[in-house]
Amino acid sequence: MSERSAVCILKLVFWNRITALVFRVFVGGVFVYASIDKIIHPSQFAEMVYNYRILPHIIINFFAVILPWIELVIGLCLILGPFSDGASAVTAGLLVVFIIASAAALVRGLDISCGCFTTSGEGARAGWNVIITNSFLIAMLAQSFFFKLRRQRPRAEA
Amino acid sequence: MSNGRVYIKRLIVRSLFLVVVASAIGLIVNAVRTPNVDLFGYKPPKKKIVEAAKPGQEATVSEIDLATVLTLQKAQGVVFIDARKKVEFDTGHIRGAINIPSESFEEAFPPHRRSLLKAAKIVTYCSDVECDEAYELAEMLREALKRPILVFGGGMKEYRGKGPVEE
Repeated sequence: MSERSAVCILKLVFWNRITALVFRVFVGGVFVYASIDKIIHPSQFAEMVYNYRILPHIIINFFAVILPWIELVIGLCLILGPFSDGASAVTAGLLVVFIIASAAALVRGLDISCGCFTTSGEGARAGWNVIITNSFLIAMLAQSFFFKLRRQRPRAEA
Repeated sequence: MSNGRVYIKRLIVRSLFLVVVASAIGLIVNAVRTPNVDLFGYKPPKKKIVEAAKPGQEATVSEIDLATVLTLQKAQGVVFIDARKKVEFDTGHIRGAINIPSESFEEAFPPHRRSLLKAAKIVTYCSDVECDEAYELAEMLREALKRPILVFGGGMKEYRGKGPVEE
């Protein structure tokens, strides 16, 4: 198989409306799922945030109260469609913040729960797994975002 | 204004709108739920002293409070380690404490290794609850000595005026 045909197949699989929709809904679903336990247990989530030892104590509770709701709202927007471009931008921003926090934990040798989906403290550890997973989610979002942008542009120019 | 700029401006406005709306929902829900979370009053968890690890058990890092520090000061063989820089250490430290700055652990730790292996308990501290040096040092000591380490989270800020200080 030539290099050109491989590129064509990849483009056919990844650069279409269905894939963009599936990626967007998938990332939205991940965020909605991630928000639920944190919304139910804000105090436990505050402890997860504290464990990263990045934020000053005074804003930890505030952050722990609003972050899960931001995750829920942007997750729902990604799934349902309205404001999906704004939600994509916020989601990508959050994923970058999570990557930086995990990298900081990794560099400082902190063996802590990432607080990604559960506040029980027994979930996945903060580290490479979070960095890799979030990078994939950013790639999925980027595909969905730029596909939509590319489709809108000819219409806007016309 | 070009289409690109208009689009970016609209994207930023939409993003901010979503963040503000979601934050407002979170704050309202927190205000009406019982018990709710004190938005600007986070208190770090206080952990009890963990006794020396038994054979086969992993050494741990645990946090202790001021009352425990004052009790431990009266006990024999407890070593307090100031994890701050030497300049800060010289401005005042817990009486009898030694200085192993976490940032220069490699050079500062070896001379104390033997005495620390003999210590009954090891307590690290830094300036206050906001600093990380005591935790970083505790982790490094735990790795190097394979024994439990205690961290006094309140640090010098909480200790001053409550116990003897040396300069």
